[in-house]
Amino acid sequence: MAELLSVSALNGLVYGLLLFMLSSGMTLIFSMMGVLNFAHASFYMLGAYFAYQISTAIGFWPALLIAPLAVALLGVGIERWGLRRVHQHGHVAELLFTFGVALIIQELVQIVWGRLAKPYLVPESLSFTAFHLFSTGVPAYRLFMMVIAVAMFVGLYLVLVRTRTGIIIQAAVTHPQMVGMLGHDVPRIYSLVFGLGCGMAGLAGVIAGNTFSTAPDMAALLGGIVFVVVIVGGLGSLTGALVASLLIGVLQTFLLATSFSAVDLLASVGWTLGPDTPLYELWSMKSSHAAPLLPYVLMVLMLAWRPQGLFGRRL
Amino acid sequence: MIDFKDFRARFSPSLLGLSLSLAFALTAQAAETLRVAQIDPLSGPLAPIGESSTKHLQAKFNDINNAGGMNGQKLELVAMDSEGNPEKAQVLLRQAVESGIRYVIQGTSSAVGAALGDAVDKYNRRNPETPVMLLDHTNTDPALTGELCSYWRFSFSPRVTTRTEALLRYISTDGRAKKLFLITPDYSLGRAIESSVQAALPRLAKGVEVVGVERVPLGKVRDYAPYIAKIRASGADGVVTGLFGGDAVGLMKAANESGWTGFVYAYTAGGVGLPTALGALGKERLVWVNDFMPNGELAGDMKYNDEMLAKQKVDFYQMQMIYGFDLLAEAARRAKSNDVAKVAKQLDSGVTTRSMLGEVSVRGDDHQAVTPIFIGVYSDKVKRGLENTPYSYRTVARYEAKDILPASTCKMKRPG
Repeated sequence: MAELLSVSALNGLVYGLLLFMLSSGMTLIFSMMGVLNFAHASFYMLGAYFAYQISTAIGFWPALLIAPLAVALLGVGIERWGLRRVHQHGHVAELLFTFGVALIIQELVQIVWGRLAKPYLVPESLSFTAFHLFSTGVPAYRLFMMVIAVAMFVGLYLVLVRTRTGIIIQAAVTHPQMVGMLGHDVPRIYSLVFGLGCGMAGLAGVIAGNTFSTAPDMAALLGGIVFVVVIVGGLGSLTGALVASLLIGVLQTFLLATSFSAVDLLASVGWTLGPDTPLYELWSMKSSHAAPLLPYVLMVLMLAWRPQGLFGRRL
Repeated sequence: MIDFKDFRARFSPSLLGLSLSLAFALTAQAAETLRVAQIDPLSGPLAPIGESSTKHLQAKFNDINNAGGMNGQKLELVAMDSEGNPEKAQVLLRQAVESGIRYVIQGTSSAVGAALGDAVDKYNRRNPETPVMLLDHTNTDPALTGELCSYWRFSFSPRVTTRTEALLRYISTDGRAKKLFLITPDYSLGRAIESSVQAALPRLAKGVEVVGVERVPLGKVRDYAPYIAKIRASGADGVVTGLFGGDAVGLMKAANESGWTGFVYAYTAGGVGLPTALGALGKERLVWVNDFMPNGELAGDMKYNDEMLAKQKVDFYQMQMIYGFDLLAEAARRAKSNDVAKVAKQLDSGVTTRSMLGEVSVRGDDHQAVTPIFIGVYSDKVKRGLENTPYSYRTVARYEAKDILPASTCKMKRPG
């Protein structure tokens, strides 16, 4: 039992941190530009594919650097020559534009790399067991993922709070006109932020693609949940994204590791439900089956009771 | 408002002309070739499997045509994309039937298979003069030849219940796994595996028990580590799984990472793309139960694999396309006609023929092909690897159909 608990906690932490790497970029872009980026998970997918391609040519470590940069550059390009033109037509147009970008990336990935999963592998130097939790081996690569995610959070936080660029970015969030008046190129800051956000998603793809899978469905699998994290954490809040990611990651992993149903719970307090109880299918649903639903339930509850999210400002 | 009068005046003649010429082309073609509609997922996550089926079908059709066709009539494959969606598949079936096609082949999803079976039965009741036959290449849900069985369905691939019989015999003889954890996709396939294993275990593998059961939403799990944690906690030394494609790879990856060293017994995990994605993962630990082992020692024709690679650019995986059409052609030969009603009558009375696997037959009770089952271990100790990897399946056991095929549960409704 202790083994299951500790292993699940670790798995939840890794998954939560990965969610955070994805959603931090999205929340950054939203807080800056007011753009809900539908294509965000597509950049995550591109990161994985770029890293696969680069790592087969020159190895994983260069890919860790080059792939997110390439994704970031693509993001800058898309902002500069696409999103900026669409911006004047309002938020709906922007939303549709990013939706279109997501579809295009999806198809392009299938055309270039095919529909089958790619053998993007964990580098040799990291494919060993770091330590054992009781008898379960914990791969070094999972620890590496956590380190990268934490480093990214700290790095991003320091950049936003401690550097001049960060302060200008923060100012541009609340007072874009004023920042412009002071002689800063606000559109360029927008491009920078969009690129940065995409690059972070790309980085998440680089480090997740090899340990999970690099296949054309990877964007669709995480696309929905990124929205959930951003909404639960509070739109535009980096801390919120971190807390929400960890919350969802750990809760979901623990639910997967258990198997009880509402029927079992009620039976333990002496209330028996039979197959002829209305909605018996629902009550007898195993907790591990409900796990994929949990984030969405959380989102609906959050929207109903605290629409601004855990750490968000009221919009 | 659209001006319909104007619209008709402008477009009608060309449309009429087009449909006339189409109809003309179709009837002219029908006289020469026997068209077979393949309704399979050719886009989306299951597309690689659908495409592989198309290539295997095309290869078999070419062979039949080069040998003179079926009763002298050449076969022509018409591939249609069902997107894995039962409703879409039914629409495609209607289109195929309206264009004069009388043989429809489908596989990859028992849910789509059930929807098509229902539609074909309805059509044939209303049109007894021009019935349609449904060829079922890789569906494995036993319900399709059990409570949902149909006179018009001819099933190639062995059902879950047959595979379970072979697998549990192997597990029992092998003796290395005593505690099984069942992890299956959350639909009819998963339920069929669970119930057949639970039912047959006391009879076939004494001392082996099921220590855990889990169903997984197929294609939606990113990380199998939580499931592996659960499997470890249950103390299992063997996993029986109906997962395939990316899910099978994810399971193997997570098992490997955590250092779990049990066996993975797979019903459907052996498909196209798996060796590429797996690499060395699961070496000597992934065990596949199927009607054929690529590169196996007990069955399998390396020459045929060479031809498949050269002409269709795919490794030879799907033996059922070979024996399925050998049986169909034999039934047509005995019927002296390619007419669906006459061919079905032959199948119904049982047909036996020689195929690449040796002697194969179709059982009249439920129109299920009767073939041996093989157990293979994923390994690099093989003559040649699949998909340019060093890995393929080393055959470790062969079970004859007469020993493992369960009695038919089909209450066949025969026409007339």
